[in-house]
Amino acid sequence: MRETEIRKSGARGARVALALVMATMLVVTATADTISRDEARQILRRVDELVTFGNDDFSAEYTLTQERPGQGSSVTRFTLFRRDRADTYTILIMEPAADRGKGYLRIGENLSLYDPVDRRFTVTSSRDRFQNSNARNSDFTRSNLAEEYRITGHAVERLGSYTTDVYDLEAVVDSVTFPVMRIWIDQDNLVRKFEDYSLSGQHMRTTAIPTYRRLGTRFVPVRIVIQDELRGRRIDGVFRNERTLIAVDRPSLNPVPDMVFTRTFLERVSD
Amino acid sequence: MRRAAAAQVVLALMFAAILILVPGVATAFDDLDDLFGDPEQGIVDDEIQDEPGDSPDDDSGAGAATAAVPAVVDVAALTTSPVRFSGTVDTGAGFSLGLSQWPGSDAAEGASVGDLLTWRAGYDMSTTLRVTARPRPYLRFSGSLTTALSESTARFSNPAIGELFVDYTLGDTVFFRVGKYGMTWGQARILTNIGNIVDDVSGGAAVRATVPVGPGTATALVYTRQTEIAIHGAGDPRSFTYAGQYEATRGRVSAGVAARLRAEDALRTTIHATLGLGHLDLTQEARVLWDRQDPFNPDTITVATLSQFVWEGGNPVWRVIGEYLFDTAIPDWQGHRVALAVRMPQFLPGRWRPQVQWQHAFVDNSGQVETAFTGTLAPSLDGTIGIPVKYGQPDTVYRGADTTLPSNGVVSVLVAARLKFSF
Repeated sequence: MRETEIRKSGARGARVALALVMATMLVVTATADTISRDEARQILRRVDELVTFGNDDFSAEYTLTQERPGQGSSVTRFTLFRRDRADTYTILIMEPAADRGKGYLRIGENLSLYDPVDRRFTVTSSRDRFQNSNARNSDFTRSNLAEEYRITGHAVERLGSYTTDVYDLEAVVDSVTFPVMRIWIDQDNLVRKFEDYSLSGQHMRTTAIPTYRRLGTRFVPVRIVIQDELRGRRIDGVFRNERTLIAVDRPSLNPVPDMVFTRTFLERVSD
Repeated sequence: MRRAAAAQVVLALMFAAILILVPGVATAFDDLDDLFGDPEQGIVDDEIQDEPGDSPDDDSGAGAATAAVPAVVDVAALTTSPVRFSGTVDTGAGFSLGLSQWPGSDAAEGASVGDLLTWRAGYDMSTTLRVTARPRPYLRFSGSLTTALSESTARFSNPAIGELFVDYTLGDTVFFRVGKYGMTWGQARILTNIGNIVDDVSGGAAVRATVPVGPGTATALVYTRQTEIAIHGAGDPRSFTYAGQYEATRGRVSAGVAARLRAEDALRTTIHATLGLGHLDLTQEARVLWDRQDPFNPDTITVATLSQFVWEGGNPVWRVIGEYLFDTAIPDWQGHRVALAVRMPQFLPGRWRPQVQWQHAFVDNSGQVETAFTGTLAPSLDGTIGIPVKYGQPDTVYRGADTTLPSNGVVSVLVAARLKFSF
């Protein structure tokens, strides 16, 4: 009898604690504010500006670790050069050894891939996965939320230690990778988390950005975790999603020579 | 007992509270939201590294031994490196079991299935050793030696120079490559690459200059081969092949033109354009061969066109490539060929990837359907199960006179393992 009471009391206490935690952590306010188109653009433009390097060049070294539950992980290292004012970027693959020398050059909406084995460039507009990871080629381009999406919903939520504005976004152009997004923005106007959805509402990916590095008045996401919501494997009865961990080193806004953003450079530095 | 039960409940509650309230400790990788538990990690400031400054022996009195500078990517380091040796080993083994002719066909000449059934084991091995040096940002030397195992003699061939070239970059703008090397132009991925009008460049020595021009890249190429030297003599301008290409990208369109001129050979010109429409890329390419003695006579002009679509989409990603080739060099307007390739996701157990490729020639209604499953057996070790099927009469476009398996039988099952790695 006494044991049963203790059990009931314990269960009730756990429920109360859980409810309090949930209330604190998850939903502070969940009102679908009415946001005009202009306001929406201003909000998203503020977000874009912090991670866009208008008149500066951007360069950094990326380490991308692809984790496939039950199948180990693979590491890709690459160097990225980005020039947002010209809407271009260059990526050089450094590891693994088998892919060393491959390169990507994005100009406008097209991507030139250089294969050092065939010594051949292939042009594509593909937004396919980057190096067979959960990252997409579009993940390395400038943020352009203000021009590509409109806000359809708003709420305020707690995200770990952050109070965030959560916006539901719907694409207004066809060229985006995902037509529906939900983004969590902290009080510094930095995107901390976003979820990508297909047109049918299928949850495709979740991306977390726990750490940014400040470069002057701009910010670079230097720790990124991308979780594929569809791919994974059941291990010990629990479904484990595939994840891509991205670490960014040596981020810089120093000028990059013009020749880096040419096909010639890819050939020049490839093996 | 009661005390033990209560202690268990308290412990369980404490554990649950720790799990919920201190997620970063216990469930760091279960829930992405757990990554936001530490606000100190939210924004970090410029990374500073120490750069060697004045040495202790420096008597200038400058003081500090190090200077603080932000850590950045060193572009010069990408174009400068000491001598580096690398290599690739590629070896495979497998067997195939199949039919040399279709039972009941005229070509089978009444042979039974047992008579037509053959099997074959095979192996191959090739090794490439490469040396690369970048003594200056504008200079690079690269050379490779290749040897391969001959299946008929079970001996390795004499090592041959695969590539040997020097790169020189003038003013960070004009890129020269001089020596023996290969390159690929053209857009085809399955059928004959009609746009690759410099496919024989690797057989000789070449000088190439590439320079950014406007929104694109211009390339000039001059090369010579033993064939032309034997006819015209070394140093004769006619023993050289001259080629040029310009490719540019604007918006969703990428386009290019190219030409190749060689003595006693038709002038070859190509033009292509690719339009990107989200997940779909549409390409149209044409190659025209002009008789140099009578270039504008329609009877002497040969045209080949390639239409291509590449679609990549879905999650997981599928890739579908379709190509249609028409070549007026085939008489009676019969030079039509089509191809379709589907690369499926790695959805099979063990991440095996199915792929299917179909090619068909209308001139003799021959073709082939290749189904393959590829997967990784172990690190650097790939496995393939292939089922190539060929149809049409013997000695047609897709069925040679030779009926040796696995490539020339009508149907076979091929099982192979391939070890490939770089070092």
